[in-house]
Amino acid sequence: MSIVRCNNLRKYFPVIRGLLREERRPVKAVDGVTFSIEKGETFGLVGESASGKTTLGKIILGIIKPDSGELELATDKFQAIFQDPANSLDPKMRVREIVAEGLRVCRSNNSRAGLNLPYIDSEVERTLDLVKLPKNAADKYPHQFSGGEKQRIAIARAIITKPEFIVCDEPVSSLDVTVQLQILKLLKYIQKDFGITYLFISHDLRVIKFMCNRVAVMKQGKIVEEGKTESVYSNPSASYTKLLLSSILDAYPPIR
Amino acid sequence: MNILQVKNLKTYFGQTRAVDDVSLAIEKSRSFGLVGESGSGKTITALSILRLIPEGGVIAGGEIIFSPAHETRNGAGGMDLLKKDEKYLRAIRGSKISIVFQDPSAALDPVFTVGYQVVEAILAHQAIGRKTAEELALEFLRKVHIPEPKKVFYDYPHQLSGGTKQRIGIAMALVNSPELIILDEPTTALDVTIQAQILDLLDEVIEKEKMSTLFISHDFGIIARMCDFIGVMRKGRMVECGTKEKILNEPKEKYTISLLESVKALT
Repeated sequence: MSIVRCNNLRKYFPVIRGLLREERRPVKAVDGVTFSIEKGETFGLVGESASGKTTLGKIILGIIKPDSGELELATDKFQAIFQDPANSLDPKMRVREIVAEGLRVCRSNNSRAGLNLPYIDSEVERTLDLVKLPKNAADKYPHQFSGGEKQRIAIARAIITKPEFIVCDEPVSSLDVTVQLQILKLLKYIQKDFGITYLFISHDLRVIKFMCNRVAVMKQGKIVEEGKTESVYSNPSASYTKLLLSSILDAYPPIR
Repeated sequence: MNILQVKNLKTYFGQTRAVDDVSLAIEKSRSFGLVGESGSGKTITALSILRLIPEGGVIAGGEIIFSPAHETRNGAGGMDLLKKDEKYLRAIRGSKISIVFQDPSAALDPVFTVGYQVVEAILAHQAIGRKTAEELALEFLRKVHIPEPKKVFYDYPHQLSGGTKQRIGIAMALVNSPELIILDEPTTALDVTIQAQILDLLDEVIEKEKMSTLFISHDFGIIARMCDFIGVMRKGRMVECGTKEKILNEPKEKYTISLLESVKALT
């Protein structure tokens, strides 16, 4: 069953320059993209900067309206985790408020459980425990945490609403490699436990390989190749995918 | 022979020991890689060598022995850069020891053309006329494979892509034929395909000029490709140091092992 289905999505951004506000050739951020994401899978979107990955993610989240094309979401319970947790967490809010906010805002949850404080508090504590943050974390502010811990807070905020689908936009790109691995493992563990579907956006082919069962390679707003991660990596068909894959640097290059 | 030897370097920012008793040796015509996670002190080590540490930082101890050819020709040993005055360091920076920074947009001045900046770097250290310097600058733009060097010469940095800007950064680091070149995360701000191109270029120029390099990166893949020796840093300390083969295949320290395991899991 598909949880997301996109058909021929298109989003151009106008470029306006000069004194006379002339309209130049638009930036084709997303240029006719078609794909679907199956329930329970991790679908990877990989590409270099300005390939349109993030715009596509935002279209799916409903943050950006596409110019044309169709988008079907089989659920209204979706969430997002962004690249830079230092930016995505409000510095003036305590972790407790940040994580609880989703619960307060999400109607579907409120109607079921009511909005009583003890319930919210216990949910926050349970969720922080899930992402392996200490209990006293709830009363601290974001700046008191390291980058990896901040990303755990962002994950807690996302999963407290029990979403079915999460868009992860470069969730580990600002982290050190040992911390990257911890966060990726956490995301996998959460997926297994809750049966969440991920759209996983990254520029890092190694991270995509670790996380995703299917992958789409984007370049200049278009998907140039799509398929099972294993087969795309072992047998790429698009020349751009080959170029990308040949650019990966392993600390231990395969012995030829 | 070592071109540069850092002995027990200590660079402190107040209570923070950014570099805490670090020693390393860079052999002539070889490449030494410093690898570590953010905040491990890699960059401050490099900046300490050039005595360019940001405000608030103090070099509290150690020696930085630099042995360039012109000083050691008559059998004299190297000199301690920490004992030299600012005037001497100004003469060394960008000529005998040059550096390429991570972000080429920040390293270039937005209000001057590329050509002007490369020429300026030449004229600061070489006693030649402007015309000759301009020709030399063009030659180096060609050397780093900039397409249409004559056009790019008159371009401003914002007109160029990140990869081209970094090529210019590399050209500027090479124009005065340095004896040591420090590369501080030179490809971190670039896309992977561009990164591969820049690493190819660095390979080529380092090989051709028999350059000695200090290569700083958080990426073990890059360090393994570019370097003969590797030093692993953490929290201002040198955790482990040795040949590439030794560090990659027989790491001794727990931290190196855990770092390499994370790298392996993601390949």
